[in-house]
Amino acid sequence: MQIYNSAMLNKPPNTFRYRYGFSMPEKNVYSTGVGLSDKVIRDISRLKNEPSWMLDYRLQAYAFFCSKKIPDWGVNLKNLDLDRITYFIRATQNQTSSWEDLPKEIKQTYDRIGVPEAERKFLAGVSAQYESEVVYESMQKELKKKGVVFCDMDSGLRQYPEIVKAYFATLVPFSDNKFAALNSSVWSGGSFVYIPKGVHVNMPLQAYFRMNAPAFGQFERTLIIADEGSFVHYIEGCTAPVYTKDSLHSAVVEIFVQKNARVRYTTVQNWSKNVFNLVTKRAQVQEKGIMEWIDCNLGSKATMKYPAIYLKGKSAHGEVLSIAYSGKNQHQDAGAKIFHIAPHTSSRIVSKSISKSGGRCTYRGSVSIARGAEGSSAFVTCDALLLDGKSRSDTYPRMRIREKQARIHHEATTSKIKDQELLYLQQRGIKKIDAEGLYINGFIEPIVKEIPLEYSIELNRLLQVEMSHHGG
Amino acid sequence: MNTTFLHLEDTIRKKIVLKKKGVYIIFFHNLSGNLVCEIKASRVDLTVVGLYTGNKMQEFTLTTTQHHFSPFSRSRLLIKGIFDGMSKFKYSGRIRIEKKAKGTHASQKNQNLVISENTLVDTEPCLEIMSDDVFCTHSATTIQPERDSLFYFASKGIKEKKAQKLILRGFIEELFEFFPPLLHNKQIIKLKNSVLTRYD
Repeated sequence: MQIYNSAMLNKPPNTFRYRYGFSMPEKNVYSTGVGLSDKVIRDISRLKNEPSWMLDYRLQAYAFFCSKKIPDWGVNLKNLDLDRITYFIRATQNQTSSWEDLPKEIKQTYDRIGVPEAERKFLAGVSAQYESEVVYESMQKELKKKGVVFCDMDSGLRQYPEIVKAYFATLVPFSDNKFAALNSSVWSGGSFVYIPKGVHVNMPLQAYFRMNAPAFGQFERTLIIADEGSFVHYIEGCTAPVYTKDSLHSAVVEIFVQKNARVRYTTVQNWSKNVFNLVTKRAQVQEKGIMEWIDCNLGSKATMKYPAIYLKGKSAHGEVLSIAYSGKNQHQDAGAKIFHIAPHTSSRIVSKSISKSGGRCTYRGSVSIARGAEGSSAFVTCDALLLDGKSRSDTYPRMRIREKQARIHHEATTSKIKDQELLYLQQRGIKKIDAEGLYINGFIEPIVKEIPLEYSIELNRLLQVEMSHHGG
Repeated sequence: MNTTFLHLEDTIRKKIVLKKKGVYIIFFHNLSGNLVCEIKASRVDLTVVGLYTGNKMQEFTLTTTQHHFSPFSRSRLLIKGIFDGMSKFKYSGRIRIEKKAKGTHASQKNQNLVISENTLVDTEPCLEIMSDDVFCTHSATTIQPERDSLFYFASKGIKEKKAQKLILRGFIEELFEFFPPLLHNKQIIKLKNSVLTRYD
């Protein structure tokens, strides 16, 4: 794949600007105001006309949330002021399936991000969430005919209450952690995806998350069910304006991969550097199913995200491929968790991280092989690149093995860009700064090649710009 | 360069501070405990080798730390274990490299061979690196004797039991090869032979 074109070589941009940092005038039709209380939760539930079990669930989750302390491990959450955040904002009255019907500010936002263009080119369906709710949604007609469901979670709950009730919070209960509880109590938006038996969705479905208001909290809730023998590729992208006040993004994602099905979930996380990103993601895989998490963490102030896979059926396979990039004042605490429960399951974790200008990247992972998961194999590899003396890299992998007939391999390396390799490129007339860029592109290549081309170009471009900033 | 050999026999000493350049070798067999090596001098070449041969109800818990404070030193760590019966092994290893420790080369390796159904192996390595001009690696494997190797032996007319013994022998001998060749310590050779006879 051509990931480095000559135009880039000749003209490295000199200044870095977060392309998505613009903000639009804040207009909303409803906001719960700052802070969180029982009343806020009841208001959200009432506004959405939810069944009573959901309100009960929200309130239980809220009680649990209040009883738990902020975690003291991982990223520094001392500056996260939960009382100064707005938990729910409704941006428009109606959801539409045409960009033209959206309010001007919102349409302009997505135009600038390039979502409608991407939709025309290579997506099978798009859902766009602005503040708390999904404002735009559309899917190819053929897929609808095949019975594919792709809608926002609120509509999912209204239209398919039985399915939602049967699966909702069974993988990530509110008691999982403080932020899962927070999400469970104030969740709004997110995607509900159901792929019927044997249906292959060839082009990706994409959800686009945008926060516009300052000091806002976005709590989307996603549920993906891939029935027997089906396939879907789901992509999420996230951006936000640059503000001085911190925002919070705390999502819960639950994925059910049934027998012989395959789900690929790609995240391109590019929040602005004033967003705390605290996310719980989990998938359960049945017999011969395949789950793949592809996780790119570039933005946010602090991220804590450990996509998990439960390999529950025989011969199930799980993969987590991740890239983390930390610049100034950023801390990416990302990783993966894999539980081998059934026999002959296999998994692979590949993690790459780059720290520069005082940024900090942490890989925190766990691989467990339960007794009875015979013939299982797990392979973990984490590589970290440190670009200067101010930055920091940590690796905390964990392996628990309860089964004799299993193979577990783990390896990790941390290093800087090797001088010899830079010299080699410089000898061939490539400037040092470009050589560094090339080196980094090569470093992340194994993961970038798994991402749809449109995103990988964007990703390379983004890192290129960041690096040129670094070299200057 | 001075070579210092340290065979920990009863307990693992809590903290070892290396303040002079030289070659240091630490060896222990079937010991639980917490070993902290602080490297506070340049041109230290530290090798830590640990062997575990667990069987029956034996339980081992080991924590190691390779803590680099000074530039241009090297540390290597190899822990090998064979676990039989109901034995348990919990290992957590840490490499920490402070900002000043430029040009460090640190590695950590843990290899476990599991030969019984009822064993339990937990490994929890971690790397904490605050300096950029370093090279650190770490790897851990937990497997049972490979079917391919057993098959290879079988194809040469060697029965499975014998083949397994040979594999274990090779696994242990590899560990002793990790010592620098100049170290011909009688004690070590004796120990090696006694461990090897256990699997004969």
